[in-house]
Amino acid sequence: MGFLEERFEDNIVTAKLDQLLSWARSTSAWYFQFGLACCAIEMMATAASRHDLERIGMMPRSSPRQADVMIVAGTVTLKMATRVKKLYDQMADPKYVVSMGSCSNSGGPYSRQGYHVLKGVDQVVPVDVYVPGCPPRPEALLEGLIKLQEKIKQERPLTKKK
Amino acid sequence: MREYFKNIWQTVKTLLTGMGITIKHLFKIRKGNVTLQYPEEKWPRPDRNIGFEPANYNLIRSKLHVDIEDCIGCRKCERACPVQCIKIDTIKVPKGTDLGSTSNGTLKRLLVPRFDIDMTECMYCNLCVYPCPEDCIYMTGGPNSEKQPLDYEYAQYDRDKLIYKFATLTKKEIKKYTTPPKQQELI
Repeated sequence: MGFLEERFEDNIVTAKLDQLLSWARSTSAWYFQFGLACCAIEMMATAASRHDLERIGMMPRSSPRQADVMIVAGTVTLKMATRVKKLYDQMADPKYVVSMGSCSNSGGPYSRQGYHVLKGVDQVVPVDVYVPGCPPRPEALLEGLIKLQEKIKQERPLTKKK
Repeated sequence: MREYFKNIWQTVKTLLTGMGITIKHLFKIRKGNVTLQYPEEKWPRPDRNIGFEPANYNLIRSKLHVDIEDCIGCRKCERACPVQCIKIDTIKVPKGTDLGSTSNGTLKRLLVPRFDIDMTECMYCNLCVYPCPEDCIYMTGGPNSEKQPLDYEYAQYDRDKLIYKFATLTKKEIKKYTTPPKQQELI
């Protein structure tokens, strides 16, 4: 949690500041650049010039310390799950997770037979948006990220939670 | 002294040249631009030859849809699914119960109280579509775009919302169909 977060009563100043803060967060959600499997190819295609991700203010960051959004793109194996958790813990608040593709949603093709795959990344990190697809098309990922932006815009970071 | 002012003039001139190019691009941004403005415009469905008749093959990995009125409960799609993401329950009805017929004219013999497709597990292989005798399970868009428009963007905040429940039978209807006709007369 940040220095000022959830410390103020609900009044007209914090309401407007909340709106400004959540708007600023939603339009500059930098994502953590790491891919686990074939969904990463589709994530690269989304970040490339045809479906420009920077158009909605999302910029790849190579360090978890600078990133706000983690796009879990691909199969999360049991060995990688510990690393995913560690990387998530290294990210600074506020942080969001987008689960991309069948494999990270629920194990996908490995959900019954796979002995080495985590059955859904929500078992290790809290997921905000699930993007279905195997792998999802760039438009589907963009739609998921726009949904995430809508979710961030609804947040009220400064006000105390009741 | 002269050199000093010349340098300043150089700076201003090169800055203005650069900014002029930027402004030109700002005004003709829609011309010759590769970037798609996503929610307004989308990449069209690819039309390439991949060895199938394009009309028979759905190139886009889109959402599965079931016309539950046409389903006869044969469970062929459930058996064909390599990841077992389709779950069907069927109930036998007593002899002589009229369940209606499908749009192909086949008589329905089983009740289908549960037809769930878990789209988080689905791997979009299209294998459940081929064995269906009534053509009631299909992927949206492509050759089926008249029945269901193309839909591949359906991200959710909650994973349970990605499990699609197609069955529409209520408990009352199931009870009505499963009671033998003799008892129905008594009621």
